[in-house]
Amino acid sequence: MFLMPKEVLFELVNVSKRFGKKTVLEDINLKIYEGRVFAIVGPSGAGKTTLLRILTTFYKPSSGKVYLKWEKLKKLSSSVKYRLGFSAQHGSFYPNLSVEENIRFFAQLYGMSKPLIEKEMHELLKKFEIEKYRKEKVANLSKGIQKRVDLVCALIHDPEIIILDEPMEDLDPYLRKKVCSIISELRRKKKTIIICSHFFAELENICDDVAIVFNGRIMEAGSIEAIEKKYGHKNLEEIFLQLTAKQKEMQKMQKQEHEKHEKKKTKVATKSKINFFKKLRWPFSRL
Amino acid sequence: MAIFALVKKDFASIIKSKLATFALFIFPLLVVLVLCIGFSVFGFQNIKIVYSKNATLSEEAQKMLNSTLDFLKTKNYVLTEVNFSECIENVKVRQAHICLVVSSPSSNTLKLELYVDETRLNFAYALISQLSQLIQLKEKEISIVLIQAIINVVELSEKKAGDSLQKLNELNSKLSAIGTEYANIQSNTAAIDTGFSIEDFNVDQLEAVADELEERNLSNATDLIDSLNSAISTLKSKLQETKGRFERLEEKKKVILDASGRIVVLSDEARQLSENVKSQQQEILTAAKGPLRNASVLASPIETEIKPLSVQQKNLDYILPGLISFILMTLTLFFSSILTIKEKKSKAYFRNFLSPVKDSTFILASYISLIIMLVLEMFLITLLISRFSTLISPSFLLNFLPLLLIALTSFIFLGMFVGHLTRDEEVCILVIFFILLAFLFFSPMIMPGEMIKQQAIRNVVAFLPFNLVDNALRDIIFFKFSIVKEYFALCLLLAYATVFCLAAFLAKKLTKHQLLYT
Repeated sequence: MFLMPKEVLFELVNVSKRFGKKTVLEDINLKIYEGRVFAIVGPSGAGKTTLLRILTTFYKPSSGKVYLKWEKLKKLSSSVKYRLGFSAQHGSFYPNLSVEENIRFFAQLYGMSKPLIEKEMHELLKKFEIEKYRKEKVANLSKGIQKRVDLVCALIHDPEIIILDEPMEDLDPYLRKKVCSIISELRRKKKTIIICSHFFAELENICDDVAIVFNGRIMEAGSIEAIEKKYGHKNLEEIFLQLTAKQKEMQKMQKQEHEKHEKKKTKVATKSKINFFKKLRWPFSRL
Repeated sequence: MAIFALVKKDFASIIKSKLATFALFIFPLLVVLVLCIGFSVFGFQNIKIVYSKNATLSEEAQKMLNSTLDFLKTKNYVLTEVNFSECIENVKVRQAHICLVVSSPSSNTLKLELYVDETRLNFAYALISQLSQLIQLKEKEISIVLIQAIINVVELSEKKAGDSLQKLNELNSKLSAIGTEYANIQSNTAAIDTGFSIEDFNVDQLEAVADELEERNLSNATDLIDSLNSAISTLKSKLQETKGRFERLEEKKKVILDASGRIVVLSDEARQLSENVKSQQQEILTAAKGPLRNASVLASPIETEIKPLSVQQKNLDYILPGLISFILMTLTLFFSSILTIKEKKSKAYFRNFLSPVKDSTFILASYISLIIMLVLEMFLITLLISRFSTLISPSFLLNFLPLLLIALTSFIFLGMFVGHLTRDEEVCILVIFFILLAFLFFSPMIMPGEMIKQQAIRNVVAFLPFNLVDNALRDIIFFKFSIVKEYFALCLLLAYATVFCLAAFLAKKLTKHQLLYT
């Protein structure tokens, strides 16, 4: 069997990612177990998507190591790619093609047979309630429907590892619930699911493990039960707010300190400049 | 299979986008249509020339001007006479294309100055080219007149030489007759016997008889003996006198013989001389025949005329190979590079990246889609061109197809390479534009490679893909060459295709981690 339950699938050790001078991720240490739902939560710009792209080897970490099943991950092998499904934050499809053309195309890339594609497509479209849009051009559909089309594209080949980047964005509460129920169903099938989202309430019910990311750093990581227990049975959102507030306060203090230091530096510089001009004037003042 | 899915997707993406369909299929067809119509009706028609005389022209200069203007009228130029300032003004306000200022620096010369809008210098060059034709024509006319006069003189001399030749013949025959006569005289003179001997007359015997008679004392015969002695002495003196005459005759004979001998020699020498004169006259006559008779040949002994190896009737026919290869290259480079960059920027890029399909499959699928679309497009374009040119025939299409496939392959991979290296459409279009510019600049359409001084650069230019396609098409269209004859060009294009394919593959590998869509 490809994946053994409760086994570490991905492991990130001291992973950092920099784009030029900007550090997006810093010193990330994570373990993602197979057959479990792993949530990466954090505000926008925290580095969640970058983290997912590192897991898919699209980005190479600037430092640190990524392991897949205890082996250093450099490039996803073809066999892993066959077992991987990905849904991007803004969708990953051809807007000019119709819903079924998109689904059929991506399914064909995974070598699925025509009858299987039709069967799976029918089931998933029905499950995501977008069957009536199957002939529609994706570009003409609403963001919510596009999101669901993207999810269908990610799940069409029945992957074992599913990476979902903001799967509930652009969806109304009803559809969010629907997506959650589908994720729960996949969880029951022992699929490994990695979700990036900021819908804490929905995540709380479907996730096993969580990592709270803020400013490119992991603030907290572990099983939901353990984290909630650690923070006095607060819910995920409260824990997140508490952690980020603390962080924000620290950041504010750091900023103030920095500004103070800068001011002082400027003052010293101005003083030295004045002294310099005074010294310049000195020989003339004696005249 | 994934490759078919990718090809199908490419087709669907293009066909479903109206703008892409228009830009990639309809627009090139429209451009070709406009070009074909443009070149079919291309020519110098209704070019307006205003001319102004700078001063009063001499009669000769006026004649030359009139013939120049007549000539220009025959070439469909529209001519109007105005004053100098109007002439310039007309060009400035685009009422006329060229202002021609006429002056006459000397009585027999005509000076033409062309004033043109710098942006329309091509008109001036066309006019100068046609005027130079006229000037050449005039020069030839004048030369012919002059040379005809010389020929007339030569012909007269020839006639006179012929006459004198006849007379020389007569002279020769007369000289030889003189020689014969003198030979006769000589032989006859030599035959005159001038031999004379007194002893033959036996005068001594008569004297002895007279002496004997005297001794016999014949008294009665004394008178007779004296008479006899006197007769003998008279005879003796007469004989002596006759001998003297004979001796003088012998001398005269000798003189005559010598003189006639000299006359024979002289007549021989005169005949020899006349023979020499005759042969010289003969040479002159031979030399006077042939090209000397034709004044136009003498006026311009080297006749230059550019004759095409194939017969094309329209302007479009002449530019057909260049036009087809240019469209092929432009369309392919833009098509493949834009499609590549569009694919890179598409939302689906990330999902494709994570799919188990190999990079080579993506490249191959794009190549298949592009080549099908471009062959189809080129077929439509060729079909459209065939409405305007008779050079497009089924045999041409048969020979064109292999060349088309290989050329398209080269340009598709070059376009893909550029598409993979660039990050957005604007830069991509700019790079393609510069590549096109370089290929065009070093092509026979703008600057023939043969004109480059450096051998190495010349070689590089000769083997540029565009030039290879253009030259091969030229051979196929104009000289009806079989494609088999173009195997060298095809092999080189295949080599280019291989290199560009590898480059495109490497570029894809190097840039596959760039996410252009966010």
